[in-house]
Amino acid sequence: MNTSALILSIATQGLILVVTAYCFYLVLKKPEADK
Amino acid sequence: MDASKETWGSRTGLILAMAGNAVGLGNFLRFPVQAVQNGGGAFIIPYLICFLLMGIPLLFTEWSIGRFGGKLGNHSTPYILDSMSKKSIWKYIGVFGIFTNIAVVAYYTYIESWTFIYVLHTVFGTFNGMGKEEVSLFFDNYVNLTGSDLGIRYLPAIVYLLVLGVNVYILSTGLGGIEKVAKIGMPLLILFGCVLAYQGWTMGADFASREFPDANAWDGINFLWTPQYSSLADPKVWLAAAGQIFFTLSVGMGSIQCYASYVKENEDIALNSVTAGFTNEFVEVLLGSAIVIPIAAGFLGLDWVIENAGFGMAFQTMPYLFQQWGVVFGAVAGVCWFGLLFFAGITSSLAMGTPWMGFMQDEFGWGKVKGAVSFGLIALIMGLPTVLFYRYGYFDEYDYWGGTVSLVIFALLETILFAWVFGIDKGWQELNRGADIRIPNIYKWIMKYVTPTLLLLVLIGAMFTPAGNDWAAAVSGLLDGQGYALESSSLISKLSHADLKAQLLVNPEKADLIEKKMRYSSLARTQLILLFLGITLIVWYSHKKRKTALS
Repeated sequence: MNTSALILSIATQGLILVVTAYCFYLVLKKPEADK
Repeated sequence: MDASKETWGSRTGLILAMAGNAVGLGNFLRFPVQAVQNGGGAFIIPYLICFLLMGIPLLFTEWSIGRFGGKLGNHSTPYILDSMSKKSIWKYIGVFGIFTNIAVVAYYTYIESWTFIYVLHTVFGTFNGMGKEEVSLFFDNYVNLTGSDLGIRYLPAIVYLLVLGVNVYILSTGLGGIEKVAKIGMPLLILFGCVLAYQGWTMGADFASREFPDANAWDGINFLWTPQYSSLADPKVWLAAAGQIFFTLSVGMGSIQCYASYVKENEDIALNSVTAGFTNEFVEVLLGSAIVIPIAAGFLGLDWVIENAGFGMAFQTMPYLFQQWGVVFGAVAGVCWFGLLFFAGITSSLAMGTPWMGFMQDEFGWGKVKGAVSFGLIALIMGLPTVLFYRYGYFDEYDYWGGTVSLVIFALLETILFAWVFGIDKGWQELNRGADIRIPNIYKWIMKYVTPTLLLLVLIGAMFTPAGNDWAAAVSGLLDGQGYALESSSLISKLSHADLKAQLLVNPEKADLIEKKMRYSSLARTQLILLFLGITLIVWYSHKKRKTALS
């Protein structure tokens, strides 16, 4: 894999993964509507 | 249960149902193809910018509109929009929010039925020993009703009925049933996606063959992620990115508003909408980019992929490729692939049933079973021609007018309603009530100015797509007084069947088929117009009924 592809791939996928995980962390921290 | 009292059982269930609504076939099929056709890695940059400037604001808008309407006892867009303005026209604009769902579910459940039957074919080894052409022909015969039917005449129609029936049954169990399907379907979809993405990332050049000696999955991955910065100056790439963001999030349909109308008055929608949106992005970018293109490049080479990338790969190519992994893992991969497509499809089609059911319950007191069955019957009347006349373009016509154009029009109008008619200050207050995160204030400005402008550009881009999709040449030609040539696939050209007429010129030997396509596409448009008028009439009648009840 070339370097620019590697950087873009890691940056984009890492960002999406981290934000998604953080959102779920916040949701699960306050699952007030959960029965 | 009374619709006005019905609510989501859990916050995670709501988020998974919303994410399931957004995650569809496009995540695995449309996104990678769009990336390939629009500059590989460079596509991701405008794509992410459009997600932040158009996707997230539209999610905020639709969740806010939905929860606001639900608070007043409205669970579908005609009366949700009506409650936001004094002008009665908005309830008729809200008709789009029911119409689009029925028009789309009519053909979408047909695709779902393909994924269902392909899971069975994979398990029973139908594709074992078939060549690439045979697998492709198998699909053509199935959809054209000319074979691949296990000797059962009209098998595609029977499987379609079965899958539609499953949808109706789940819908008849209400939000609880939808939530259960989302809680089972979404994790399974992600699990299946991870299995296939792992293969995509690790297969490398191990499966190069004598026919395709240069095949290498890394070429596909490299192509998808290598940025070609020159393409960032091309308006076509930006329009494609905006279009992809728009369609992947299932905005402009009316289903998000309907789901959000069952959220409690002071429950968070800010964090929930961002979580659902990012879950969709996770599936699309992390999983969607790692399956079709790398696997196809690993077996057939990058050149073949660039030449043949398209929707058909899912059914015409993938079953053949999976076989190359051997009988056992080939079957596992096939079940994973068609299984994930099935779950992606059903979690979306269920969302399409709820606006009609919510409307009939609110206005006419129809219960869940009556609402679900009536929805199924209308979907059947609309959808059966797409099964029987697939080869004549009935399906494509629904997809274009019902599943593409009307979405953009409705999204544009609802953003204008939310930000300009209802008022962005009131809208912002609605969005932030009970919020678990602090939304940056800049979004207030983005929602008022940037998102409607981007939507307008997408609509104009679709209406006036220039010949060859070359915007720079078209604009300079126009300024030089050379006129403006439209692409045959532009909205304006499609109105007069210019796309089919262009095909006729190139392939005069297919005149009979193309003329039939013109007739059937006119018939499909008539059916769509009748559906829209029918729903408008029901909304008008319900309004009359409401007025009588008040007086």
